[in-house]
Amino acid sequence: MKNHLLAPLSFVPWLVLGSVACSSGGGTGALPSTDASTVADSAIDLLVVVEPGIDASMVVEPGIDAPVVADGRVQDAVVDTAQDTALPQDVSSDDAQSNFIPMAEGQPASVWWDVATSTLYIADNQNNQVWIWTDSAGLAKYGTTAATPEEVDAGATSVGQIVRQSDGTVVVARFGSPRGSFAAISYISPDGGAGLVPGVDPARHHLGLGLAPGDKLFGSYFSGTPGGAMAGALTTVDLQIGETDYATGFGKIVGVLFANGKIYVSDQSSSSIYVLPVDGDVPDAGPDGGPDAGGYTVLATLPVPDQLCAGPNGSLFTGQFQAAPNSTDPISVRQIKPDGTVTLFRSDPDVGKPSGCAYDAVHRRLFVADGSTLLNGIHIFPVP
Amino acid sequence: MKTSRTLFRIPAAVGVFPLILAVASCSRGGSAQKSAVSPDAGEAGDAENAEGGCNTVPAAGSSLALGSPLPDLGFAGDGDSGIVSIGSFAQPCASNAQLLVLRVVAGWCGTCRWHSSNTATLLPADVASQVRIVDLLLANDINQLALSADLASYQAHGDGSVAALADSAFSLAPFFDPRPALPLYLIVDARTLTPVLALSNPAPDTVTAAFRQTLAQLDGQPSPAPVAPVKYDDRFTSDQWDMIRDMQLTQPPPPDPSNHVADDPGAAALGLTFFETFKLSPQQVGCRSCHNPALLLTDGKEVPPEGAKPATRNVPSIVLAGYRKLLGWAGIADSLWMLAVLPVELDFEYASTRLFAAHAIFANYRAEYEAIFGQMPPLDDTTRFPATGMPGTPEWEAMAPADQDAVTRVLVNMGKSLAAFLRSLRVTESPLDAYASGQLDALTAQQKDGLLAFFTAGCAQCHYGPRLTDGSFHNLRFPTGRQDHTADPGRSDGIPFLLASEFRQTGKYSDAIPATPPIDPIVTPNLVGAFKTPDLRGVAFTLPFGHGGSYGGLTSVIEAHRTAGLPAGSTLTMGEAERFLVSFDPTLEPAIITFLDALRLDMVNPPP
Repeated sequence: MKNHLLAPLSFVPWLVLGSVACSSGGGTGALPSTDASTVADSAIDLLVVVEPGIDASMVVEPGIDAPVVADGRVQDAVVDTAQDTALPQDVSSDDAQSNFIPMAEGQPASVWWDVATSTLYIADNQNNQVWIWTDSAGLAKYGTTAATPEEVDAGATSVGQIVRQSDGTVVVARFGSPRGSFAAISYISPDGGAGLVPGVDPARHHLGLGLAPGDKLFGSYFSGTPGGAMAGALTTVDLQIGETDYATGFGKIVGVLFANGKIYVSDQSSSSIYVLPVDGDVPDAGPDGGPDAGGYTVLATLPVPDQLCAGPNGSLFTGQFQAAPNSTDPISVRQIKPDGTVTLFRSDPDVGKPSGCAYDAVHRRLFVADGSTLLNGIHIFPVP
Repeated sequence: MKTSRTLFRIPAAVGVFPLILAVASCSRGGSAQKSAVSPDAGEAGDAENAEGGCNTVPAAGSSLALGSPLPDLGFAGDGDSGIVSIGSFAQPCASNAQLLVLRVVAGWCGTCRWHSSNTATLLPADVASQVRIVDLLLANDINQLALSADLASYQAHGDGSVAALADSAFSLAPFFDPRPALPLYLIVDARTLTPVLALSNPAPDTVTAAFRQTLAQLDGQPSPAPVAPVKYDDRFTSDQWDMIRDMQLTQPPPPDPSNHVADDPGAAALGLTFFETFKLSPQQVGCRSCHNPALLLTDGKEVPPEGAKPATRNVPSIVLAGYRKLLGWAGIADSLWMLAVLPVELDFEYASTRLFAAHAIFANYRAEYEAIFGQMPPLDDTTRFPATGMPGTPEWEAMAPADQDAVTRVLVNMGKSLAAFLRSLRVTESPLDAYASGQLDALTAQQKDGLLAFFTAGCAQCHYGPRLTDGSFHNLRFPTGRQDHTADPGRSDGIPFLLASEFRQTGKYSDAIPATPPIDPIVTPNLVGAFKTPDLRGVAFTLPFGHGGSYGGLTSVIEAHRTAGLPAGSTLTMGEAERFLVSFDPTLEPAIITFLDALRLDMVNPPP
């Protein structure tokens, strides 16, 4: 454990020339004299405790152990960061640049990978902007969502998921003010015009958006007081008509995803990811409400699930933008397998505030929107 | 492997021997700069000098290097001493070897405090008469660069056996690696004022051994046999063990005489009511907006979005706020009740006014309030008391001064109630407490190794005591939490805010000025961009980390400590990194995380 190192302590001998003007004491006050030949002899050993601190065996290398997962719960935090341990401030290095899209302006909140055009759409928490990115052209502004000056002044432009419909309409859910105002579902038409879905209650926070075949839109909302109970619902959304409750009884419902022929919903109140049918045959939420009151199927439970995106082989990914209660787990991106098992995909320090994600199946890469000050941009992680 | 305990020794290639020419003058350190801490004439080794027979002092050198006579350095002494020359410590005519030990310390530094309070232990009888230690103070308890006025308070941390001088410039820096761990020892041959050995945060056994070895060498005596260092629980040196024992959190928060209801259960109950309500803000913001009991009274987010406007600094846990002397990341409050008052009128928190809050209390909690503080002002008289207003608004400025004062006292009493509530929070004994009390199996072997790594990496320099913090301010060059990504000045903005406040412990709303009133802080250059050292109890449960909440886990924030934050040129931060932010071996990091993960902070009586 602790090494006791014998470190030599050498002393510099003195070469005193001339007389020393110290007259009393019979020379006892004279400085010691020696010469160079005594140097070697003057070296003495001094026991110095150099603290090595720990046994090498206790140093844990990341990415070694396979995750132990059961019942949809994370059993063991395993960080697969052996190949990507770049520190936050290292993202500007040449190697990291190719795996990271920095955003000098704005704060990315969500991403959508459009397969048809191989384009990444990015919703920006600031400035009401939507950005696009391609491998060839890089990052560019795409359009501006609707927002009033009052909404901008209130700092109420925080957004949720972004989707792109087949006709090119880009839809963005808007969270609004934390205290319950300015929430909306906004869209940018193919001609660049911006609009808001009518009838959306501005006091209900909107974060989730899912796109099902036929350009069918699913959304979500929740409301409640900080620290208190939240009540949320999954909705269907018509850009021209408004939103309609599809399944209720959720809490803080955040992510919505259509994949594998189903609708997936992430609910932070219950730390759960639910699975619902897309045909409308959903259970009644029941009179008591609450996240499990509807009897929805729980795919997995995991800390603070955020927006959802589809991954390879029927899996899902989800981010995490805040700490989980009573947990020392770092901020992470997690992968959920079809059987509900959960693994850590990336963790601190690779990600800081990963909220949204999008998977490019062709290149087997995961885009992760990271709005942290330090890692403000889009990560591009290879997916095994 | 590089560690915080580093032996600096004379380079092997010492080719230049000090050439001590006969000097006739003893002017170095002359009487014009006589110091109150000049060597005592009666010291054993300087008998000849005392008899007045020796007039020789060594010549001043021109460089700061081991083996070369020291230049004529000067340090600030206490009030009457002026500048004290290093030459005043010379003992050129001593009959046997004499050591001058310049110990570089800082008031905030826990390891320094241990060394200063255990100086006598470091000087066993066989060397005590030949070693003189002088503490060179770099900065005071709150990391303001040291002034003469700070010397007395630092010496109060010690055992009273050594003199102290102020050296805010860190004159001895060339003897040490960059970012060394404090305390630093420079061992000097007092007869020639030639430094012979430099040590960084040495173990106590190492210090004593170095004294013995050096004295023997200088006197041409055989080297004493090495003494095996004493280890506690097979790991820890005596200083580490003492510091571990001091980590026990067994006492309630210290008294706060500025708040007469600080420990009143009724006031605490009212404070809980104020903690839970959202009615004091027109924006429906309350304490609970950002302080979630499930997250140790944090919000778990980078910076809080829950206020009336986006805030710029991470929400710290306030479970142990009752113990803190200066509160807020920038130290903007000198009492807990002051900290509780401030959010009401900050535009990014409640965005309320004291009149609005007073009316809300009058309308909703009048009986509970009056049971503690007596009759409320007649707030139903809206002619005298408009619905909203605060200093600077027309409504407020139109009020009678007595009415203004009455409303402000309602606000202050709300803050004092909240303080009483937070002070009433208690935490369960953690495994660290049990271990520190002597229950050696309370920590696992891995956690103990992590605690050792914590010391080895130099963490205990700033993270010590029951809450594992120095309560001081340091610039770690961590990223800003501002949405526009501009750098946050931190402490250098916090000091003028504090000084301008009407709610200080020394102000009119204080119930009594503490026996040791807080000093008026000043901004020194090292405090630009500095922020308060957070408590570490429960830290692993309160991510993300840093004043801007930029680090999403212990891995990144510990690494940021090791690398001193953002590199030069980054616009996300400002100022210079703390000079003593120790650069440690990165392989220690997993063990440190293991230890920090074990630092639980469980409330006995959490808010509902």
